[in-house]
Amino acid sequence: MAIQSMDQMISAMSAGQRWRADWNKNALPTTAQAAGQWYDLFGGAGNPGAATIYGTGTNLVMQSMFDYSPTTGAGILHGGDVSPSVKQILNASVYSAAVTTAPAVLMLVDVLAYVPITTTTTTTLQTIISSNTFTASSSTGLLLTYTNDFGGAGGPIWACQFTTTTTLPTGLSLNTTYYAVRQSATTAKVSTTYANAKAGTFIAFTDAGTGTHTMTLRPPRYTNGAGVQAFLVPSTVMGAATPNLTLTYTNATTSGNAGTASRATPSAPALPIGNTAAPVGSIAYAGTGSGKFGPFMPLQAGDQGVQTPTGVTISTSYISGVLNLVLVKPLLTIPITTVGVAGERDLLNQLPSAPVVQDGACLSWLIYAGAATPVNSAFFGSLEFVWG
Amino acid sequence: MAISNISDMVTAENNGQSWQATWRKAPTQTTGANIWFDLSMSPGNPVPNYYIGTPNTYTPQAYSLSYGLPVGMNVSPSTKLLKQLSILNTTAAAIPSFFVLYDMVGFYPFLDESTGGVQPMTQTTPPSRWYASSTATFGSEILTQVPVSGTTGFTAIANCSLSNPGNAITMTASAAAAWAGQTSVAVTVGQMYRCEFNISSMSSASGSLQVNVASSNTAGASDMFSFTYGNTANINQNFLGVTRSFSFIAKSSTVSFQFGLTGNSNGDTVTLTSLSLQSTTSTVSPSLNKGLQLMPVVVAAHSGTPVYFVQYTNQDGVPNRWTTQVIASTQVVNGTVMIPNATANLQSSPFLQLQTGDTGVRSMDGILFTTVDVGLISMALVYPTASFQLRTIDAPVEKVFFMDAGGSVPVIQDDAYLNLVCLPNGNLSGSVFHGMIQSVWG
Repeated sequence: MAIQSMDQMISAMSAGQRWRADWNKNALPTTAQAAGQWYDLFGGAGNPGAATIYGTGTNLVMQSMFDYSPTTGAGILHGGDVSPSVKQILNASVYSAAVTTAPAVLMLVDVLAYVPITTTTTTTLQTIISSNTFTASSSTGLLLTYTNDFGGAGGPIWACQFTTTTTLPTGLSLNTTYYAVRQSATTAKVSTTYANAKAGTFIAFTDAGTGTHTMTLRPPRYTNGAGVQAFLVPSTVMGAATPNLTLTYTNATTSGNAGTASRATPSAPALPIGNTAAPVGSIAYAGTGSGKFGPFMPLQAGDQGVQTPTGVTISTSYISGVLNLVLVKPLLTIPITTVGVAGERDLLNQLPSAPVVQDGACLSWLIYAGAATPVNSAFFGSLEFVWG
Repeated sequence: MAISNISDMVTAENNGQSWQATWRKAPTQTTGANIWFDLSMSPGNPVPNYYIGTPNTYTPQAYSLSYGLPVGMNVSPSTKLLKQLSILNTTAAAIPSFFVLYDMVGFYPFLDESTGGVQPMTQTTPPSRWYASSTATFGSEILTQVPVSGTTGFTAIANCSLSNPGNAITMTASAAAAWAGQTSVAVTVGQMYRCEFNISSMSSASGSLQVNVASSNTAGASDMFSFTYGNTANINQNFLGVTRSFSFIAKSSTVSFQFGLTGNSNGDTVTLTSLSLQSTTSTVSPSLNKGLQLMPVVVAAHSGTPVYFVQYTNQDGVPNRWTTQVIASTQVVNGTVMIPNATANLQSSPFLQLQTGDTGVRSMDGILFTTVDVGLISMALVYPTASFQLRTIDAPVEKVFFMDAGGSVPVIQDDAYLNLVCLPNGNLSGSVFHGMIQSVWG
C-alpha cells in the first residue's frame, strides 16, 4: 500500500522507513564533455564506483541490471527491497564546485538492462538476442536449458515470459512474467516473483511440456515496457564514422502482455546519426544538428516504451568501438543552476510527485552538459527515499 | 480520453506516455534590444529552419518535415500536453528575455519587399494542424455515355455542379462544345472547402480528360487559395483512363466546375463512356483555427523601413481582411521579426495586429508594400503555445504548466513543429539557450 497522505509519509519516516543516499559522480575521465551533449555518468568515478560493466558479456545478448549487479555496474543504493510497500523519492539535490560544470541538467534513471554490441562494423540488421528456445528438465525444481548466457555479465536474474508451439511445462503459463535465476551459462531456474527469485524459491518440476518452448526477456522492472527508453553509449571509443542508427523492438503495453513486434526508430525527420569518434560514456547520437536526439532513441509513433529490444542497425561501419544499447526508466530531472549552488528538487511538490523506485532498481545519472565540462569534474548530491 | 486531472497525468507518465528531451539554440546574429527574433533560424538542436520554399506559396511545416523541438511522436487519438519546459543561459548580454513557444503550421516564403501592388499568395492545402476537419462523402454519380468528337484543342463535354454542398453532386451532361464557350455552373461554398473528384472509370478515351475549376467569373475575386485574383483559371490534369483525383481549397465564395476532353490533333474521335465522380468535403471546427497568427521574419535584409499590410482570410473564412499597417524596424539581420521596435507604438507582439474582431488567420492571401525596399521576408503561420521569461543567467527557468500557468496546459498536436521566438534585452549573438521540454499524453 503506497503512501497516500502527508500523515502516512510522516509516520513512515518516523518508523524508519526511509533512506538517504549521498552520491558522487565524476564526469568521464578521458574526454571533456561538450556543450549540448548528453553523457552517461554510470562510468564516472565516485560513489558508486565507476561502472565498467558495459561492453561485457556475449555480443548482442541482453543483460539485466539490479542494485546488486556486479560492483562493476553498481547503482546508487536506495534502501533495499521493500515490497509489498512502495518506495518513492522524496527529494533530490545535485551540485558541483568545479568551474564550468554549470549549467547542466541531470536525469536520474533506473538502469534496467544493456546489450553489448561489439560488431559495430556490421552494416546489416543485427538481431539482439533477447529470446532463446529452451528445454525443461528436473534438477531440484524446474530447470531450463537454453543457448545464451543472459545472466553472465549483468545480474543473475532476469524477467521473462514463455511461449510454446504446443504445451508449456506445468507451472509455466502464457502471458505471465516470471523471473529466471541463472544456474550456469545455459541453465536457469524459474520463480514466480522477483522476491521468490532472490529467496531461491523456484517452481517445481512436474513435466517438460511438449513442443518447442521459447523464453523472451523483459526488462527486470517495468516489465511491460511502459516508460522504458533506450539509448546507445560506447564502452570503447568509436571510430571515425557517422552511421545512421536504428533500433527495432517490441513496444510497451499497459493492457495485456503482448506488445507489438517489429517497431522501429522512425526515419522522419531523420534517423539518429552516430557521432564520429564518439567517446566512452557519451550518448552516441546526441548533439546539435540534423539527426541528433537526446537522450533517448526516438520511438515509433504511438509507442510509450520498449518492452523487448530485438535488433539494431548501424548503416555504415563504425570502423571500431563498442556500443551498448541501454534500457532505462527515467525518474526525475534536476538542473544545476550555478557552480557551487545546489539544485534541489522537492518531489512532493512536483508533478507527478514522488517517483516510485522499484525493488532492485539500479539508479544512475545521465547529464546534459550546458557548457564544456572538463574531465573528472565532480558532481555531488543526495537522494532521500521513503516507503510505506 | 484526454488527461483531465492530476491523477490522469501521473498515471499517464508512469505508463510511459511521456517524452522528455533537450533543445539548444545558439543564435549568431547581432541583435538589438526589444526586437523580436525568431530562434527557428538559429543553429543548434533542432536544426535551423531557413524558410525554404516556392516564393509566395504556402509551405507546410511539421516535425516530420524539418524537426522542431522534440516532444515525442504522434499520439492520436490521445491528446498530448506540454507538461514542463525549462530554459537556461550563461550569457548576460540578452537577459532578461521573453520567449513564446509556437507551433508553426506553415509559412509563405520569400516575399519580395521591392514589389509594389498586392502580391497574391498560392495555397493548395489547408494547415495540417489547428484546423479541424470532418469528412463527408457526397456520393457518386455516373455520367452516361457521352460521345465526343474532337479534332484539336480542348473540348468540353459536361458541366458539373455541387448544387447542394453537403448532400450530393448534381451532374448535367451537355453537348460537346468548345471549352471556352461553356457556361460555368456555380456553387456557393460556405466554409473552407475541400473537393476531391475521383474518376473511377473511363474507357476508350484516346484523348485525355481534363478538369477545369474556376472562380465565379468575378474578376479579382479571391475564391480559391490557388487562384487568387484569377491569374490562373484552370486546374488541368490528364487522367488517361486511370483513376485519378485532385483537390483544391475554396474559401467562402462561388466556384464552378467543368470537365472536358482533349482530342488528339490527328482527328481521332474521343469517347468517354462513363465517368464516376465523388466529392468529399472538410469543414472547419469553429473551436479551432481561431488562434493562428502571422509572424513576418526577415530572410534577406532590407535597407530602410519598409511599410506593408497583409491581406488574409480570417478565422471564420471571411476573405479580404487586412492587418494594420506595419512599419519595419531598422534591424535587418535574418531572423528578425519584421515589425516595429517593441518600444514603438502600434506593435507589442511578434504577431501582426489583425483587423478588428478577428482572432485568427486561416490563410494569408496577399501582401502589399506601400513603401517598398529591398530584401525578402517569410510569413510564418503559427499557433502561440506558451510563453515564459528568462530572468537571469545560469539559473534555469522551469515552468510546470499544471502549476505555473493557472491550470492551463497547452495542447501539442501530432507532428507539431515547435520553436521559439524571443524578445531579448540585447545582443543575442553568442548567447546559447538550453532547455528541456517534456510532454505527456493520454
